[in-house]
Amino acid sequence: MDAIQGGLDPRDFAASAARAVAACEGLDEAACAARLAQDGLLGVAAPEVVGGLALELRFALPLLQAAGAGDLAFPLLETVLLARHLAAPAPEVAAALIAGEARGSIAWAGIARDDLTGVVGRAPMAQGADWILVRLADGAALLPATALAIADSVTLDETVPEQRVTLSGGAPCCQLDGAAWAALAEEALLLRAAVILGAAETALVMAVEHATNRRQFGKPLVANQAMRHLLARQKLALEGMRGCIARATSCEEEDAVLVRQAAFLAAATHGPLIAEAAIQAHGGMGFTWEVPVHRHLRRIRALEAQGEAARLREAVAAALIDAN
Amino acid sequence: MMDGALHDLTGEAFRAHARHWLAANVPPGFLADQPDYAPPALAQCLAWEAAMHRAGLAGITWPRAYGGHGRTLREHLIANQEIGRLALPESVNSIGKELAGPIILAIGTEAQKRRYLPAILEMREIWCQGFSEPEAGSDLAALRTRAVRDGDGWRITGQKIWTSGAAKSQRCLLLARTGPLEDRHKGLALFAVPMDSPGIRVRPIRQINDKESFAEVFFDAVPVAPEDALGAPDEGWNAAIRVLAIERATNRMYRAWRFENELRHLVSACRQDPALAALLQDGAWRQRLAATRVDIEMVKGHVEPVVEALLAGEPIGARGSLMKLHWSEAHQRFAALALEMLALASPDATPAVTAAQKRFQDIYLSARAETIYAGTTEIQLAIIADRVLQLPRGK
Repeated sequence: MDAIQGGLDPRDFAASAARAVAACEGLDEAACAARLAQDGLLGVAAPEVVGGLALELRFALPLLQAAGAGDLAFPLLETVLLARHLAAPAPEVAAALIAGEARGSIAWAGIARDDLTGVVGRAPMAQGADWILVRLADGAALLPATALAIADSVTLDETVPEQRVTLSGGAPCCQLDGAAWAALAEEALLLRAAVILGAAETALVMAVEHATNRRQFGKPLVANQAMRHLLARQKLALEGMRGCIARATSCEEEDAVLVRQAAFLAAATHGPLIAEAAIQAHGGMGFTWEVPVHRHLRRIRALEAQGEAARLREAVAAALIDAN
Repeated sequence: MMDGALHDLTGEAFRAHARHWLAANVPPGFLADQPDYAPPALAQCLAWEAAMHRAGLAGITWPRAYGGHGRTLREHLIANQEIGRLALPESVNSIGKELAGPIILAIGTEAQKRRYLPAILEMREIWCQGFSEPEAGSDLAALRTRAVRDGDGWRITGQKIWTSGAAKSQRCLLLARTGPLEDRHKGLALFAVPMDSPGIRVRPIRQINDKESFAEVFFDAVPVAPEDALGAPDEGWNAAIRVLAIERATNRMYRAWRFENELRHLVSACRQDPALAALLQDGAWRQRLAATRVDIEMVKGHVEPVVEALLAGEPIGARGSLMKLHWSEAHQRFAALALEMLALASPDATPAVTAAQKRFQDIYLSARAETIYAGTTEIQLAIIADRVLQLPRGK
């Protein structure tokens, strides 16, 4: 695969993505959407016909990584995927999402009945959404939020809180077939890994800063070998996660599906440990609300749950056992 | 295949060549995951590795003038992926191919390159590594073996330890001190010492895996000819350090793919035994197998960026430490998993299952060394802290 598309390098996106995420600090969800739309970021991986930039998915990774690093209070992953996958079946919705004029969410947990009843969950910021994609037994349906009952649920991530969605029949705006949903879900794995990478990296940077600046026993914490090794182990895990994501964007091997699953599972396995270690490295400070490492931990754990890491590990095991 | 045609193959065509050649030429009994496996003798290994070199699968990046194939690290990676997929024996000349050779390429004279390098690839000369000493393990700068001037040449006196393959080697890549012990890193010099020199005595050491591949080597005023000194004192060691940083990232590049071969072997062995097949249906074991599969992808994720960076001419810094550390610990976790699973086999296990039990017992024991050699886990963590994270030492 060519590293450059149309003269662009995914890495060029990193700086502008970080600026856009920083500019969203303190904005409400609608203002975030407008700000991100202004830079064209919401349509990064959507076709031009709906106002997207028509770039490959890997160009979205630096953006999602920046969202994780900057603890962005916006359902960016869902918006980027909806803009990309609704372009054909619901072009007007995709265009409105990309323009920041409408907002969307995806309920990652649970499967609705085919008559569009039932309860689904883990829909990030569903309460502010105009459109919500819910999973069906074989595919997915896009529903207007007005037709749904949306309620708070137990949520770890308070920056991008998850909500529960109750369906009560009605007509969907459009449906994705099983293959289209599978493609979306597989891409979500890679984008989640990128958010986790960004969040974990920020947590580690904060831990390194704290351990460097905080002095005890007449020397910086980081002068102690125990602390140096703790931080080195987190760096090892972080770079392993980064390498897996890089492989998933460049790999043309026969087992491309596995490589994407592994990118998410590496992030879902090591991301929480890095953020937990970052809290440990902060000592008592790390247990305070004020020190925001916990926000990154919350985001990472929410993404791990949305991607159903334990269930995906089971799928990886099944594929391994079936193939040998 | 004609030599000229071989040198033109790139990418997937080169991969196809490697895969087909290996499939057609691996000698019977060589593959540790096959029922007919019989550990090959030294002579068989020499012949096999020489044949691999003729087929373009060794010395891949070395210049053609010195017996290499003049290819890039990308072909080196492809060849290693294909070699790794098969349960082939470890190279008996990895020190020659992956340590001595690159150092000689970096600092050797033209005459030294022509003399040493083809002999390594053609398996006429096996090399061993004489760095560690009883009082200088991780702290190499504490080494005591002395090289003193003797006319134009040198005389070496001292003792090396953990010298893998010393008993079967023709040459030793030896690190010795030309000045006083207090000089630490200064005055260290590298030599290519013929192992049949007078004054060398090798005492094999029995390892926990019941092999005798490493040894103590005693040097008693061993004469070394001037043409066997590699670089000037200081120069040789400094170049060796630079080469070692790259080698740590590129040596045994097949290991992620060999790791995958081992995991596949474990699963296929389990499927052949009723008691073990039941484990494969158990969620707890399945989660650990999947975690191993992800670990393997992470090892690959450490290897491939290093290759891309080197191809792009970028420095790789201490990235070799990341790969080595993740691989060695993940491999130990897997080896323990394999041992635990295979221990639950039926008492009347088939020969295929008992063969797997033997292979994984050996892997489990051998893996204990993987977090010790080539820089212990603790040394790798220190390197990551110092050079990757650049943490201040601070007082």
